[in-house]
Amino acid sequence: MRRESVTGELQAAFARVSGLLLTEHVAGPAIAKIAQAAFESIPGSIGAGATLIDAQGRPTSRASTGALVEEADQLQYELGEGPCLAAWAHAATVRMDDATTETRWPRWSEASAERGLLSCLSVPLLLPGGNGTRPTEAIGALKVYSDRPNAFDAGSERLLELLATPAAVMLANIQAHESAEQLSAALKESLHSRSVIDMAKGVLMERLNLDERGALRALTDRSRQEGAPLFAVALSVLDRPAEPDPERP
Amino acid sequence: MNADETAEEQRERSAAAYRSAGLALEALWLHYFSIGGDAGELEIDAYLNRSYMLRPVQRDLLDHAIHELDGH
Repeated sequence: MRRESVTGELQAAFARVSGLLLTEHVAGPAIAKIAQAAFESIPGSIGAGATLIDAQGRPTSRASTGALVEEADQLQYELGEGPCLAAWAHAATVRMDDATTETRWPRWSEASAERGLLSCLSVPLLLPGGNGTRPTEAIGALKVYSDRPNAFDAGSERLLELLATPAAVMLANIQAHESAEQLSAALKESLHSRSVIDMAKGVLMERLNLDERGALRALTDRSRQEGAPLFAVALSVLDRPAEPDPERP
Repeated sequence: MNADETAEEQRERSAAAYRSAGLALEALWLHYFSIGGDAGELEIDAYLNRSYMLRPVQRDLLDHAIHELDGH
């Protein structure tokens, strides 16, 4: 079992990461904590970073434990090459043992070596495929850096991979939660507007002895003449000023 | 909105307005829904592609939704 290799530090990191689900709902702080957890969990690392990457390979949200890591990360996206992009693109763990002899990403590794970042380990943030047809989906990458060569080995790979799994699920949940909140706000507004317009239509049908289409026409004609949204016209028909609803911010 | 317009003429006019306004279907549907529309996004898409016909009130609502999103 791989779980046997989980250290006490990593267990603490897991706890920190899963506790986050209950208390924080913003991707930014969440990935910052994931980066911090990786940094504290992987022996030999001098800094860590986590990045969410969209389907076009652009970073959408990221965090790192220090300015040096931030710079090295930024360079990857500017140059379009580097271990994190590779880990994300191939959905596989990528390790660089020595930036001074690295050949896979010549421009990035040269810049990285100049900054004193000599080894790097990056794992993809993988989500299990939702419908079973796709096995997994990479939504970003998690990485640690070191200032000496050969700082990371198969053991560090395993640790970082273990950390990446719950991190990816947590980030996906946070994103789903955020879009659900946005959706429900839009939906609430829509339903409110619908009911006001429906009521106004009913009032006009009764008041002017119109059929439904006639009542709607009366409303839309006024909306166009006055350049006012249908919702505002409907509110005025109901003889209620567009006052802010106390239940809505 | 012309009262003598046939259903096909109205659909043609709405489809043209939709295209020239460059609206996203999803945004249009949400606005149409929020002013009382009952048809689904797929039906709206089919209607605007001239392969489906909406009932009169739904046609008027969609037409007005396009107008509001385009003009405001």
